[in-house]
Amino acid sequence: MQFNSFIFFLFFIVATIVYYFVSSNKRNLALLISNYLFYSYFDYRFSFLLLSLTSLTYFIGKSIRKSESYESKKKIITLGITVNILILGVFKYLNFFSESFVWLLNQFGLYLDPLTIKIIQPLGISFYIFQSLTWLFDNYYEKLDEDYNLIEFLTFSSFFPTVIAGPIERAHRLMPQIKSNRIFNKENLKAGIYLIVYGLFRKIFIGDTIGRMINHIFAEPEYFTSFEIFSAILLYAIQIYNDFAGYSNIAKGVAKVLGFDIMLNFRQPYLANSVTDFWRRWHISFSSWLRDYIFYPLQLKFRYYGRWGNLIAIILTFLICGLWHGASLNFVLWGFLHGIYLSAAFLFGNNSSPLSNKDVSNTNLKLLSVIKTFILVTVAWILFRVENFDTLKTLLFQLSIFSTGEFVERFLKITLSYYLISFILDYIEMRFQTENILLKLKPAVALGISIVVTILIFSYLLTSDKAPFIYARF
Amino acid sequence: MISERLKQVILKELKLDSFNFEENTTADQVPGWDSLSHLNVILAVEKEFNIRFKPYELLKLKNIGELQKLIDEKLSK
Repeated sequence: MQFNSFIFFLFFIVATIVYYFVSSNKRNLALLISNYLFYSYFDYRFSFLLLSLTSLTYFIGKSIRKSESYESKKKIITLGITVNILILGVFKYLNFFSESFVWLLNQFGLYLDPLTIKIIQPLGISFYIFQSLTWLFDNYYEKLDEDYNLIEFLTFSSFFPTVIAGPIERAHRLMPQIKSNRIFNKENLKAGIYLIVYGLFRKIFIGDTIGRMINHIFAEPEYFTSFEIFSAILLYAIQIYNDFAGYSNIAKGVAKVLGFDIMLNFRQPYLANSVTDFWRRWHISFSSWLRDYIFYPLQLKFRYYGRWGNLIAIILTFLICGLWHGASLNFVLWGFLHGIYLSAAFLFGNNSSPLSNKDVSNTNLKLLSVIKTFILVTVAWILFRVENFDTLKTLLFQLSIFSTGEFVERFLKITLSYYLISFILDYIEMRFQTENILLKLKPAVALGISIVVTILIFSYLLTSDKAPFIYARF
Repeated sequence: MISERLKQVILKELKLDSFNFEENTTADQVPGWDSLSHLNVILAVEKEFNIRFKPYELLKLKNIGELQKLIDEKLSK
């Protein structure tokens, strides 16, 4: 049940009516049932994994809370993290590590067959495990003021607006909201629906339409000219952003209708003036998770190694960042490249190196910094997008021959149009300091726009194949 | 109450002329105190007060007021 499907719209309407219809003390239970109905729709077997793993995590978190000594807290959290990461490892990374290990042995002349098991990756596993882990961390670092029961935790860890692809919420942010009494509010309904409509617009009319054009270019680059491949790379940066930011808007909107405020996931990332700044604006719920639970502990652990301490922490964090996206070398390399960018920014932070993250006040320099950052990020997206090294080689070869072909003008117009739409939306968000830009317009105008966009979305969904959200496969 | 000594260490490390530190001020509210400069601030505080923090103690902190409390506890031992 993807967010861009009629079955989801129907489910959401029914779930919302039931949610507000039951008495307030049953609301969490109603939400929990909706969460599991939503999740089971994909594959009911995975619900058992979700239920058993998160229940176990709940009790481990409770034990951390009850422990009085630092040593026993540390032992229990280590157990909790190990269990969760082992489960994630088995479902997501077993084949990758087995194949990589055998490849490594082969280099030393030892020939073995890799142990490959047919394992289907449960949907959203990387997201819900990372979200559940915040329950352990928040108990460990004593960030939770109140005690929470099992129903509240299970509602948190399977929260249907975010379970498939985030935003990855924190226990100390979302659980107090789950505990609080939520009543129907017209303003929330309006704000939520506007965000959903806006998110669907970004996803369907920018992300998906670009995807239709460029997917076959990335699949078979040998049939395309340098200019077409160059356009596809530029367009992919816009596609992945609008697909994921659109998804995040829908998730936030759905949660808003139910009375929840979910954390911001994107803040005009392509207006960042350094790669460091980009990571403060891109997939914020995940980048701040990595910062708080991986980078800071590593940085503090290695703090007496001088600059090397920070560099080790940066590289390790970004390797994990890459690996989290998928069990494949291209994601690891993508993460590593970002680690290199940030290490360089750290080393050359106070000079005029192109990788510096120094804030600039001059408007022209600022624009140059934004363009420089965009180029660095887009180059890294190539690694993220290609599925194997043969394709990457072909793609780079085709790019290097500088062929143009007969569609130059057409591709140029298409690329510029998408950039214009995406950047205008970002500019408006920046000016209004919100991603819910429809709320900032005159009510009649906002209503008119959302009705027209909704009609367009429905017509599109009725007549076209629905493209899945890119991040839903992670 | 944030001590003048702690304020001065932070200001010096972040190259700031002045900043109004309150008990509930968090690192992200202070200009220049980002994830990379965080390490230098911590090292400078350790050096100034001649104390050593455990990562766990630092990761628990919610604001500058709690950092001050932690320093006071370490100094009183």
